[in-house]
Amino acid sequence: MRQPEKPTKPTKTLVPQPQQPLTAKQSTDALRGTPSTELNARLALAKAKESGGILHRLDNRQANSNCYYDLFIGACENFRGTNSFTQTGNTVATADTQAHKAWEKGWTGKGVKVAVVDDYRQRNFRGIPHGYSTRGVVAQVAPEAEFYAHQLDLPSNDDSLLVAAYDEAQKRGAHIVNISFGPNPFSKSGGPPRLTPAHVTARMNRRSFQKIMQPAANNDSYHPNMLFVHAAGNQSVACVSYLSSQNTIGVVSISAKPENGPLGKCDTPAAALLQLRKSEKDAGDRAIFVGALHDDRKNAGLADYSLRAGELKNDYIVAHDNIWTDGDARGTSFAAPRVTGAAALVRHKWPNLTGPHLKQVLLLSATDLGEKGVDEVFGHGKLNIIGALSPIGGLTR
Amino acid sequence: MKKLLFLFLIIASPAQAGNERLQDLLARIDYLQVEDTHRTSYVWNGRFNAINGDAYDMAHFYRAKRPQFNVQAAIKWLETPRLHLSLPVQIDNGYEADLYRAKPYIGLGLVAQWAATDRLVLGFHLHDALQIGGAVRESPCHDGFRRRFHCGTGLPWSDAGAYLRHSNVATFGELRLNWRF
Repeated sequence: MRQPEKPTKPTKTLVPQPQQPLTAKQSTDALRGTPSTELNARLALAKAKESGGILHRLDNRQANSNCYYDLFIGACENFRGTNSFTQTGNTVATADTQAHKAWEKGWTGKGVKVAVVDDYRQRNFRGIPHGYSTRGVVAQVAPEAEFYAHQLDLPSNDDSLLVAAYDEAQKRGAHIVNISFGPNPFSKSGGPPRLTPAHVTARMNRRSFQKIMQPAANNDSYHPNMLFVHAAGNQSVACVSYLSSQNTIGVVSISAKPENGPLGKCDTPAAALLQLRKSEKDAGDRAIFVGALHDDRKNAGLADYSLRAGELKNDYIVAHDNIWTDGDARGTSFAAPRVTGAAALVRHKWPNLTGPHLKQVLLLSATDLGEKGVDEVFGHGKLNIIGALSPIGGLTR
Repeated sequence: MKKLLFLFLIIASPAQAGNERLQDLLARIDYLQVEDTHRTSYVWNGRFNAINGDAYDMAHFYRAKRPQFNVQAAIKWLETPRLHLSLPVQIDNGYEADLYRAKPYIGLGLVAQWAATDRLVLGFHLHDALQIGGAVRESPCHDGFRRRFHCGTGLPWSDAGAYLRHSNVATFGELRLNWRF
């Protein structure tokens, strides 16, 4: 007999279909993941907090009322405590991503391998290695994901070291690679930025860049199920200043913060990707760039230091960027691992999604911000884990 | 579709039909109820709110592809001045939709009534004690990335295991004591 229930909202206007049409008719969760439990997730997170005493050290630092700042961001002494995302029992990244709602369903990232290529050795960020913090954010979203921490002395510009890092990540079976670093084209001592066509071409020809940006379908590319999550970069202020001096910033839409620099013009790898796409349209099909949102709830705009989507709006998503507690950090370095963690949750649920499809799931399920639809500030919008676990596109048999 | 409902209560009045076998059969029927509705499981209506709150109407996946009927009857087996035995039977032709399939079903039971005195009747009613068929099989729907969902609830398919439908026919038994004042 039929049930008399009625929907509470009008039928959804379905979002666009994924850019990459699927050829295989098989279900992507034929090898479905095995659910874990919320308790396991919380235990794993507690263990991650304890490892290395990260939380303890952060707590001590918090007492100084100075914020933890990332590369290329100025001092931020008056920054902390401006939002109220932290909810009972959840650390800040768990709360602002709503990851715990996925844990309740048993999706905790278990069995998913996440490589966090980062600096775990240098303690030049107020006594805490950068890698511990990025890894800590991933743990808050996907606590049962298996970590592979690859040491890279930052800032690193050594192509062979980067290739070795990504190769090792693949060798160890990593499904998702978090890249919360990048070359800063703006020298602290001034001088012209490394954003000239020659710099961009040189970047495009680097082996490390080629390996992660070439289409997943290419034979010599990394495993097609791998996803590469990149921090968008924090050089917005310096870049806008530079672009203004060059008179090339153009007109920015009214909803955009005019001081945010566009990714494709302010970041050498992003510019190289745009150049590569002229000859290889599927380049970067499993690369996703993550910008940072203001952590003040009243201001849902892009953080002033974060590069905006620009021409890479179809590869761009945004997330918050605290580490463990409200107002404790700033930097796209800590927004990216939220997306990495979210990708781990989705892959736990649907283990055989390809890298390009996983990217599209995250993008198409994002909460729209700013101008309606995909825009050049927020790209696809804010990371939405619950949306990523919900249907996308038309439902068929 | 309008429901057709036939309810016959036949109280030992032999039909005047020419066919003796039919007459005999009708005489043996305690009650007969025929409906054009699937009764042995609950079919999803296909309308749901996904976990992100979006509303979907996937009713077409659960719309019946062929007519349904359900017959419930009781056939007299033995009747003496003190003892009345009958066999309640339920027949359902199942349900077939894109994502939902219930197999045809036959259920048999037993009803025994014993008049202990002129005023006291003791009864034992057991319905659907013997069940044949009726199994329900559900299939997932797929989103744009071929990820499997349950279109009855909107849950990801592997979260929906606890919600999948089964035959809702339960064996039902009771003892009755009737006292005529």
